[in-house]
Formats: sequence, C-alpha cells, structure tokens
Amino acid sequence: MMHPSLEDLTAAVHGWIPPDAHLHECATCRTTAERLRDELTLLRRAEERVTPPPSGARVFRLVPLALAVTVLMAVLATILLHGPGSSPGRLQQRNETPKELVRIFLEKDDAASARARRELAALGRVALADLAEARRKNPDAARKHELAELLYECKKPPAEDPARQVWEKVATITITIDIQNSPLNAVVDYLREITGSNIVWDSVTDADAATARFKVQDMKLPTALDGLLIEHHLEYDFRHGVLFISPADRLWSAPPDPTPPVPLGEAKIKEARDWISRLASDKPEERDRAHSELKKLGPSVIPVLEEGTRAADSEAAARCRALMDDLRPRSRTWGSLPIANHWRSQTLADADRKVAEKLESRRIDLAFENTAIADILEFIKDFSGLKLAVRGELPKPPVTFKVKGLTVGEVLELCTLPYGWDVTIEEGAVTFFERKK
Amino acid sequence: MTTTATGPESERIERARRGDADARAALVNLHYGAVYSLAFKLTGRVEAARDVAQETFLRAFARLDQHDPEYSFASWVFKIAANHVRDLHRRDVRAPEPPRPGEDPRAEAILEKREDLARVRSALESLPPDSRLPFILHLQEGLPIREIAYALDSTENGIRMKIYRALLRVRSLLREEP
Repeated sequence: MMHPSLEDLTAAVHGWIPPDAHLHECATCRTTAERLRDELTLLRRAEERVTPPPSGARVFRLVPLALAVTVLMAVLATILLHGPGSSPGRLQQRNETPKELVRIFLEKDDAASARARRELAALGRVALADLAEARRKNPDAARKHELAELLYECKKPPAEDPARQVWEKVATITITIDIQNSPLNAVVDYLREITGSNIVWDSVTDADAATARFKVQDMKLPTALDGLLIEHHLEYDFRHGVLFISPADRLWSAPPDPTPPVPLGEAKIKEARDWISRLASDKPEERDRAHSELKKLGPSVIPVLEEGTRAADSEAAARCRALMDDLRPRSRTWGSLPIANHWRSQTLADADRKVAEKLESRRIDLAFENTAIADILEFIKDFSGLKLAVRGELPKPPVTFKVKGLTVGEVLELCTLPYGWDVTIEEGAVTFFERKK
Repeated sequence: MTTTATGPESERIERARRGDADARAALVNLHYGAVYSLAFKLTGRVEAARDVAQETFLRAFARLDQHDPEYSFASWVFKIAANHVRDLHRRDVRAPEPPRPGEDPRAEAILEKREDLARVRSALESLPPDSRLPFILHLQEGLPIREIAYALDSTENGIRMKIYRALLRVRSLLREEP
C-alpha cells in the first residue's frame, strides 16, 4: 500500500489540497492526520493575535491626513473652477491634535470655538476619548451643554451600522423619572423598559453595588443618561446594535496616561487653604462653592488637600479626603474593548461565508438573568442551528443579558468581547477563543 | 474560492477612496488589531508595532487607488505592513538568521499536543522574518494561500513551500529543546 507523504498529509490538513481517499482505508495515516490536525490547532493557538495596548495616538495621525486630502482636493477643485488666487488663504495647514481642538472648543472665543467644533465633529468617534476626558475634568465648563451635544454627535454610528437606529431613537426620547437610592442596574432596567431600547451593561461595571438617585423631568434621554452615569465614572456608546454602558477607557482608545500635575504656586496654595477652611462652613452654599473651587484646581491641589485631612474639623477633613479621591488620576484598569469580533474582518471561504451571512441575518431576543455564558450559547446554538466550538473554558460567572431583535453576530459580540473572548469562523464552525492580554 | 472584496467592505473602501473619514475610521477599526499583531510579532516591540500599524494605514489610504478589488482589504494592508517591516529590517541592518535544516519526514517529528504553548511561541518567534510572515498570515489570520501570495508578492506554490519549511523548522526546534 502506498502511503501519502507527510508533506501531502500536512497540505491536506491545512486545506491546500483535498484529502487523499487513502485515508479511509489506512488507520495509520488517519492517526497521523489526526495528530497533524492537533498540531495545527496548537499552532493557531500559539499564533493568535496580540491585542494592541490602549493608545490615544492610534488613529489620530490618520485623521489629519484624511482632512488634509479632503482640503487639498477642495482647493484643487476651486482652483480648477475659478482659477488661481480666487480663494486666498484657504489652504491653511492646521495640525492640532483632538485634545488641542477640545481645549479651543471649550476655552477660546466663539469663532475659534465654532471652528474647533466643526473639526471635532468631522473627526467623529476619533475625538470621543478626549471629549469625554474633558467633560470629566471640567464639570463646570461654560460650554458644558455644547460639549454634551458634541459628544452625542460624535457617537453617531455610520449609516449602515444597526446601532445608528438606536442612536437616532434615543435622541428623540424624553423622560420623567424619580428614583431614590436604587441600585444603578435597576434604574437602567427601568429605562430599558420605558424607552423600549436595547441597553446593555459592560460586565466590568459594578452596577449591582452602586446606588443612584435619579430625578429628572421632561429631560432628553441622552442628557439624563449623562447625569446618571458620569457620577459613577461611566459613559455610553452605540455598538453591536445597542446602547452599551462601560467605563470610557473601555469604550474608546484612551488618551495616554496623564502627565504628573504641575505643583501649585504660593498664591494658589494660599487660595486653596482658604477654600479648605470654608469646607467646614455652616452655610451649605459656601461649602459647595469651596468644593467646586478646589475641584477646579485639579490634581495639583492634592498635596494641599492632604494637609486638610489633618484638620481639626472632622467634617472638613472628610471632605478633603473625598475630594482627593475624586481628583486623583485614576490608573487604567482595563484595556479598550475591540470594536468587533474577529470573524467580521476575516477573509472567508464560501462555506464560512454562509456562516457569516447567518450571523448577520438571523435575529434573536434574549432575556437571561444570572445565567452562565455557556448556557446562553447553548440556547443560541439551538435557535440558530449554527455549529459552535469553544477553544478553552468559557468564563463561569453568571451574567444578566436582555436584548430584543439583535442579530446573532451582535449578540455574540456582546457575549464575548467584554469578557476577553472573541469569535472566529473555522471550517464552518463559529469558534470561540480567549483573546491574549 | 472567491476572495474578492464585496458588500459593505467594497462600499467602505470606495467611500474611503473619496476621503470619507468615517469609512477610513471603520477600516482602521476592523483591521488595526490584525496589522498591529503582525507588526508586533515581526518587530517584538510595542512602539515599533504601533508605528508600523499607523504607517501602514497612512500608506494604504494614500494609495487606495492601487488596491486591487480582486483581493481583500486585509491582504492589501498586510502587503503594505510586510513591506514596511522589511524596510525597517533593512535599515536596522539586522540580517535575518540563516535557515537551519529542519527537514524531517518522520511522523514522530510532529508536535505533540502536550507541548507547552510558550515553547511553541518561542519556536515561532525564532523563525526568520521571511518564513514567519506567511506563517502568521496563515495561522493568525487564516488567509487563503492566494491572498498570502498577493500580500507577499509571491506565488501560491512558493508560499506553500515557505509555510511547510517553517513548519518543519518549528518541529525540529521543539524536538531539540529539553
């Protein structure tokens, strides 16, 4: 009996040539092929993608280029149509980073601010990390309402993205609500019910433990959500067909770690000490003013607040400690979440393409409370008839997951990406694997 | 097997070609991870990998007219990334290691399932860049041989040969280790 060479068996296992009919007859070659398949699985695991660390600089360099090309084309068109010199000064090179544009938008005169706003709106999602950071650092900014509007505008998903409909719908909803000291997740459950929108929590948020007081009247839902979530250092975005709540670092490429704060000068230290002494005032409005003024000084005021924690007045000391917690730059605990599952950028063979089409077209409603992800996937498998395979062990902690009318692909993204897992399509099977850190 | 860019991807590429920043951002979002990973594996440095990934997309958008719709956008950006990494290696004057003979037709040479992933990774990392590249595109991205050949300016047979030789070398390296 002629056995195929190891090279031919390898080529068949790797899908380069069709499998030899000899394999049906020869147990030895079948065993070898089986071991080659194991080898291929092991190699694929060893060669899985390395996840990029979070970086604010990632796409920023691309955007000036895109803008530069657009501006250049516009100018060339103008020159061709109207002749040279018809639009002097149009080709003005600007190289501001999104962070600088945000600063101009918030601090400069109306004309400069309007120009920065236009450029930030053109950057869209690329500007989100810096806009959110600016809002966190400047809660009392003069243009805070305009900032909130711009943030929402920049969250607008592309027209073909199913999350676009959610974005459009949420913008039109007005709510009146009065909830006192309820768990944050209960408040959002209620919002989900009254608005009929798919709202999903990121698994890393501590929504069970946090309590919220939430009282608004005839308020637009985006503004209400901002008010509810910012206090808990959370943001929201539109992805996987839902309104998705998560820490900003997870949602968008985070800006680089903050540089150490600049020490305060003598005059500012004196001013800060004065405000600290007023934290113990009997008048609530004076205490609030002192709190707000100290917060404006930013992380630089932390050493002075430290002195304040040793003050004789225990109430003032407690307020200093609370302010320090609030102002201390938070180290990033999480990496940013991938925007999509691996299969969406795979180049697929015909059979695998059919699987992808199914993931994109079948719609599903899910309402699971405290359920293991493995059980949710079992349900999806029965519902969709898809072949599912898991490399490794799925996360065990139970999750609560309620969505309506999402595609199976979107549901899988919500079930995997927040938990450090991903999905690829291999030989007709939807395959789950753990992403490397 | 068809690998032509169709549907939303070709629309996105067309919009990106017209300068639509949204479409460009979407393409970056979809493919950045794969390009970064490829660059990291070839350079071994986070900063270099970031630079390569950024430069790759800059070059890709600057030359979108050269993208062949017969091939996926992914293989197009891998092609640019691979060329850029080659340039970097040339500039570093870091000659790739000469290939070591690893041809061993015996079935015993096949990797055992019990092999530790870390050892396999270390063997993969020791491959010279010319062999590593097709190996990564084949294993990490699951790209068809035709697309890999396009990305690396080679023939399908040449790519199959390179991957097979790299495989033999990995088997041989793992056999040598304790």
